[in-house]
Amino acid sequence: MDSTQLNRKELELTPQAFAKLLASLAPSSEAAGERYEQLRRQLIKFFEWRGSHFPDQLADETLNRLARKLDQGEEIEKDVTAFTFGIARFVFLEALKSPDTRRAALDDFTGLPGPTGFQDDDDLWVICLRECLRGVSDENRDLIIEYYQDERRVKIDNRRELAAGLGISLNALFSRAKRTRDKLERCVTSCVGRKPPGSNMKGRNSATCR
Amino acid sequence: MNRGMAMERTGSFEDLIEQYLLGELTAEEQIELEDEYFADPFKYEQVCKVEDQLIDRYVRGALLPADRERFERCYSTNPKRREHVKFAKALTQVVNETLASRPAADSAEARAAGPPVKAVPRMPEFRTPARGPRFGMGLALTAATLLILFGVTWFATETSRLRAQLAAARRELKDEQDRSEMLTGEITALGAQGNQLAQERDRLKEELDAAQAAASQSAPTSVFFALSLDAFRDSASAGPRPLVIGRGTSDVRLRVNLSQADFPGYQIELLTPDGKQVFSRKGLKAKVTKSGAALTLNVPAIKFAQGDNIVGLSGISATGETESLGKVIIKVNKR
Repeated sequence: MDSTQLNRKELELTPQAFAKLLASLAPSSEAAGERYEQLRRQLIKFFEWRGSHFPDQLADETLNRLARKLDQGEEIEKDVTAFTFGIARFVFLEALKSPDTRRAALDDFTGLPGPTGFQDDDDLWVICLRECLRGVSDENRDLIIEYYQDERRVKIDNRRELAAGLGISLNALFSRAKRTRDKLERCVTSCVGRKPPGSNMKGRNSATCR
Repeated sequence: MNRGMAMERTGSFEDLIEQYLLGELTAEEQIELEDEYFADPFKYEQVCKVEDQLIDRYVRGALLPADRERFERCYSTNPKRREHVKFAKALTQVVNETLASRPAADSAEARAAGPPVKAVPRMPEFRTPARGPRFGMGLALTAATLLILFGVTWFATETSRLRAQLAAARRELKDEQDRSEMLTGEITALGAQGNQLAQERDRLKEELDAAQAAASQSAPTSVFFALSLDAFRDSASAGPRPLVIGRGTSDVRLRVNLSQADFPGYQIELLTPDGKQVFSRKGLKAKVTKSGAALTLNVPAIKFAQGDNIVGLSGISATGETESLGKVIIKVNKR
């Protein structure tokens, strides 16, 4: 399903509806904004895990529908999050039934290289990651390095020591590392997306890719 | 969905998540898991964690061949997921390069149970190498020592506080006892005083009664009774004259009114109905009054009997001769 083929009117959210949506998430506007972003990320992951090719757009569509329902005066009896994911399921099923979805999937596979094709723009991702790491605090940079340093059993022990050193639990350590990783990934994805089309396939010269 | 994979099936939640990520669950199982992580932020984080672990193991070549093939077939066909894989690959490379660029001593000792080595000067807490059991034991001992010290300090403080409380309670008890004794003494004294006052009251009452009795006795009370000469002369037709003598009356002040003093002296007698003389007074002199003359005489009230009493009047001439002037009956009512 091409995003351009989606009804733009449906994607649009009136200020009043958006305000009602935020109000339903949290009492203060600041907390509501954070909760909105968190909910949007969760929806994106849900659509990704369901195999959607356009998780961002489906997440936005879900939130738009939620806002319209609230604007129309619909009472949400249960948790807003659960209600939202209920809408998300419908949105996903509708997206699956759309013929555009199948066409988009074929288009996507046409240029899909084999697993080794990843190496074409690997340097670009590394370059962008190094660039994005400069924008992260020293503490979080070291956290990422230490947290993801090994795959073997040593990594687990190291993570325990890392958590103990910071005075936090392993779960809290994962949350912190995950937040930094996600932030880095968004930065790197954006950085890679800014590069001219086709430049990723040119070679491994990092200077050229720059 | 092919469930007979080489990937270890331990039935754990992590395994379930892996199957979900690779699209190997049934629709019902999918919905069930989604309902769980929709409602529970912790479970949502677990799904994210398993996804990252799966991707990291793939990029590091840690998956079994069959699992690697499954991953490439089911997971990385999605463009968004491919981005995750590319990022994870870049991250692994950068991490390895960073670690490799650190001094060799750091890397070696990080794998040994040695002292901590500075990897990045700014973050000492991340420089702690993996010492293994020895470091952990030291940490545990330190924690235990701190705990014991804290416990001892708390115990001492608590004991001191309780002792102070006990001393205060004892002082308060002693104060209460002293107060109680004092009050008991006061009560006893008040009791004695009360007895004294009662005795005094009784004594005073007795005195009062006695005084009242004495007063009633000592204070003379007279009753006046007047008669005319005509009453003596006409006593038979006039009937008895009433006279009330109240309790405590000592005298009857008898007055006989005369038109004139015909005699130089008079005599008044008090007789019983049967003529017995109970009282007499001679040589009475009539006093001149505005209306003529009058004889006055105090007769003791005790001389009068209850009921009829006769009062006789006689004149006494200059030669001593007595002339009866009449008698009058007085009906006395003693109260």
